[in-house]
Amino acid sequence: MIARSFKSVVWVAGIGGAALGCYMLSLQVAAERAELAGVEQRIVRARQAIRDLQTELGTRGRLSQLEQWNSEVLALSSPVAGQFVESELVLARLETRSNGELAEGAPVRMASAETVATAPAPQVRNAAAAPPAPSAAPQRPQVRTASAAAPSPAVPAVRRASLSEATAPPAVARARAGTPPGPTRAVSLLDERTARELGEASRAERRRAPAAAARPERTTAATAPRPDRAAKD
Amino acid sequence: MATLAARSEPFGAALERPQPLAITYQRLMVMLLIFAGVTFLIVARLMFLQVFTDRAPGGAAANPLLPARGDIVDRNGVPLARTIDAWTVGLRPGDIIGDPAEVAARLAALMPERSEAQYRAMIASGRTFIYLRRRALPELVEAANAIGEPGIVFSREPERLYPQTALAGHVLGWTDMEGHGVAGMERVLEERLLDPARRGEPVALSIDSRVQAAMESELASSVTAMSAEGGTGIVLDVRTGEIVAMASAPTFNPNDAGAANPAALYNRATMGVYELGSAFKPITIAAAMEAGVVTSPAQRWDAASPIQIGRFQIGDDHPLGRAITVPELLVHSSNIATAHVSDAMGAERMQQAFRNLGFDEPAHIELAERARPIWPDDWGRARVLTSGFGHGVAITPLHLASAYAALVNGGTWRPATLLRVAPGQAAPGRRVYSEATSFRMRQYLRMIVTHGTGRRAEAAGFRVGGKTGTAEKVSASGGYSRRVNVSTFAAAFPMDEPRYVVVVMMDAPRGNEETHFLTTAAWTAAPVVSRVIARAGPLLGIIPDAARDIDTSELIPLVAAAEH
Repeated sequence: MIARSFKSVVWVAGIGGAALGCYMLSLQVAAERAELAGVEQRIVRARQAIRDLQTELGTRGRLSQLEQWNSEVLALSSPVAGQFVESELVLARLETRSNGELAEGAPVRMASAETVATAPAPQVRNAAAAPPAPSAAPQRPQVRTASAAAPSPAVPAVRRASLSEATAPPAVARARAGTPPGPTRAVSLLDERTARELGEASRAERRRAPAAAARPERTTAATAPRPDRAAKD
Repeated sequence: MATLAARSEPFGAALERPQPLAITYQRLMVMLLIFAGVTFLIVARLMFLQVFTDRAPGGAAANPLLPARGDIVDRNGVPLARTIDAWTVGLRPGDIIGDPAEVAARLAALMPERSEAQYRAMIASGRTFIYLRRRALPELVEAANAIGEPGIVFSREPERLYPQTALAGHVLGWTDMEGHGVAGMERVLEERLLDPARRGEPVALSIDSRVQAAMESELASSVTAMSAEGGTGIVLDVRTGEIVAMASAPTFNPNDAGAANPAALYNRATMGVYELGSAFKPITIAAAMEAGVVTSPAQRWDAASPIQIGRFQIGDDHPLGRAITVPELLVHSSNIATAHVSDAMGAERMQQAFRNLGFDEPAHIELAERARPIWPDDWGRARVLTSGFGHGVAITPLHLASAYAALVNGGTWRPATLLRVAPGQAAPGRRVYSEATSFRMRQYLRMIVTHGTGRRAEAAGFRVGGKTGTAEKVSASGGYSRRVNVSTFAAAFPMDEPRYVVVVMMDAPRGNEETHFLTTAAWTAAPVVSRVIARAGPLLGIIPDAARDIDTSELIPLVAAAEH
C-alpha cells in the first residue's frame, strides 16, 4: 500500500526531474548559443578592426607618400637594363666582373661531369663551401674550368647543372636548383644583397644534403628535375 | 516547479483520508494534465529553439562585414576606394544644458573652421540637428566628448574613403554625401557597388596603382617644370584594351572633391579634345599601306616645296627639299609628304581610315565623362590634306592611345576598358590593319625613336617606338597660335613584341632651360614617356634588355641622310 502510494510520488518526482532536466538542457543549449554568438561577434569585430587597420596602413603608406619619402630620403631609382640578368651564364660573368682583381675577360666555361668526379677535397677551397664567410670574395674564378673533358657538346644545360651543384657561385646553384634543365630563361634582378641571400640559401640547402654532394653519380641526378628542390624554391 | 510542489501536497493528504474514487480520479486527471502541460511546454520550447534559432546567426542582410558600398580595388587588389565607419560629430541645440557661450567657445577651440559667434548662433538656432564635422578624427571625438555636453552627439556613419588620395582621382570619381557616385567609376559602377548580393566582392579596375603613381608623378613634375596648363598620360595594354594608368594633371583629391578647383576635375584624357598633330602621321601611313597607296618603304614622296591650297600653305619645319622615302617621312615628320600621301588617298578613304579607329564617335570607355571628337562636316581637299598630319580632326588622347594599340598589336582595334579583363576574355575587337602593316609600323615607330624626332623618348633596353606630335593650339580668338602648343608623344614598348602603349600630352607647355625653351613634343612630352617607361616597365613585367630590338636594318639605308 505504502509502496504503491510512494510509487506515484516517485512518478511525480521522476517526471518533474525529467522535465527539469529537459528545461536545464534547453537552457544550456541557449547559453552555449549565446556564447557562440558572442564569439562570432568578436570575430566580426576583429575582422572589422583588421579592415580598419589595413585601411589606415594603406592610407599612411599610400604611393604618393612613399614617393615623397623616396625623393627625400631613400633616393631609389628604377632598375636599368644592366641590373637584370638574362641567364645564369650572365650571372656568373657578373660575379667575376664585380671581383676587381679578375681580368675583364675571365672565362666562363662549361664544366663537365669530371669536375664533380675529381671531387670533394679540392672543392672545399671554393668560397661556396665555407659557410661562415658568405660575402668573402673568392680569389680565383669561381667557375671551375673543365671544358676540355666535355664528353658531348649536345647537352650544355646538363653540364651546367652539374657544375653549379659542385663549384659554381652559390647564386648560380640556387638559380639552377629550382629550374628544370633546358633552355629556360631565369631572369633575376641581382644586387649585392640578393646575391648574398641566394648564396646563403644555397649553402643551407647543400648542408642539408651533404651525403649526396659527395657521390659522383649525383651529376646525373642533378640533371633531372628535382621536385623536392623545386618545391623548396 | 513551484506549481508541482503545491499540487503534490493535497495528493499526499489524500492518502491519510480515504476519499471517494471519483475525486481521486479527478485529481489524478488534473495532475496528469498539469504534467502533460509542463512537458508540452518544455518540448515546445525545445522545438522552438531547434527550429527558430538553429539558423545561421545574423544572415546576409545583417552581415556587419558587408560594406554599405562595395570596394574598388586596382588590378592587383590594392584598395582604391573603401567605405569606412567614420565618426560624425553633430549638435542638437535643444539638448544643450550648459552655458551656450561657454560651449560655443570650447567648440570654436576644437573646430576652428567656424567662429565662436557662429557656434553660438547654431546653438540658438532651434534646429533639431546640425552636423559639426563629418569624418572626424577619433582624437577630435574624444576631445568633444570631454566637453561633457549631451547636446553634442557622436555617431558612426559610412563614409567613402580613397586611401591613395589623389591617385587615379579622375578614374575613380567621387560620391556625394549620401554615398551615391557622382563621377568617374563610382558613377559607372553605382548599381554594382550598391547591390547587396555583389557588393561584398570588390570591383577590380584595370588600373595598376604603381604605374598610375609613376605616371602621375612624372606628369605632374613635368607640368610644373614647364608651367603647362595641364597634361595627360595614358598607359594602355595593347592586347586587351585595358587602361593600366590614366592620369590628368592637375589632379584633385576625391576625398574632398567639393573643395577641388573645378579645372582640376576635368579629365583631359577623355574629355579634352585636341588636334594632336603629327602623331596622326603613322595612322595615315598605315591606312595608305592598307589601301595600296603606299606600296613600298622605298617609294618616294615629294617634299620639295610647300603645298599651297587656297590661303593655306603646308610646309615643313625643316624642309628637306627633295623627294623622300616613307621612313624618312616619318623620321623627319614631313607635313608636305604626308599631305601628298593623304591627297593620293582621297577624302573617302581618309575618312574611312579614321572611322575605323572610332575617331568619329566618343571614346570607347566606361566613363561618362567623355567628349565627342570634333569631326568635320566638309571634307574638301584642304581638310583631307591637313587631316593626314592631325589637323582638322580633334580627338581625345584616349582615342589616340587606342589607335596606336591597333597600329602595333597586329592590327586589331579594341575598345578601351577600365575594368580588369580576365585572361583570354579580351574583347574581340575589329581588324583595322593587316599583320604585315602592323609589323612595318612597328619598325617605323622604332626608327622614329632611334633615328628621328623621338630620340628623347628612348628608355635604355625597353625598345621604345613612337611618334611626336606638336600641334598649334586653337586660341580663344579662333586662330592658331604658333607659340602655344599641344605636345603629344604616342609610344609603344617593347617594339619587338608590343605590350603597352604610352601616350603623354602636354597642354600649352612653356619651355624652360632644360628644354632650351622649346615647346615641341620632342622636348616636352617625349622625356616624360621615357621616364614613365623606365619606371613602369619592370613593374609591368617588361625586362629591359639592351641585346634585343626589332630588326630595322632593311629600312636604315632608306634614311641614310638622317643626320641632323
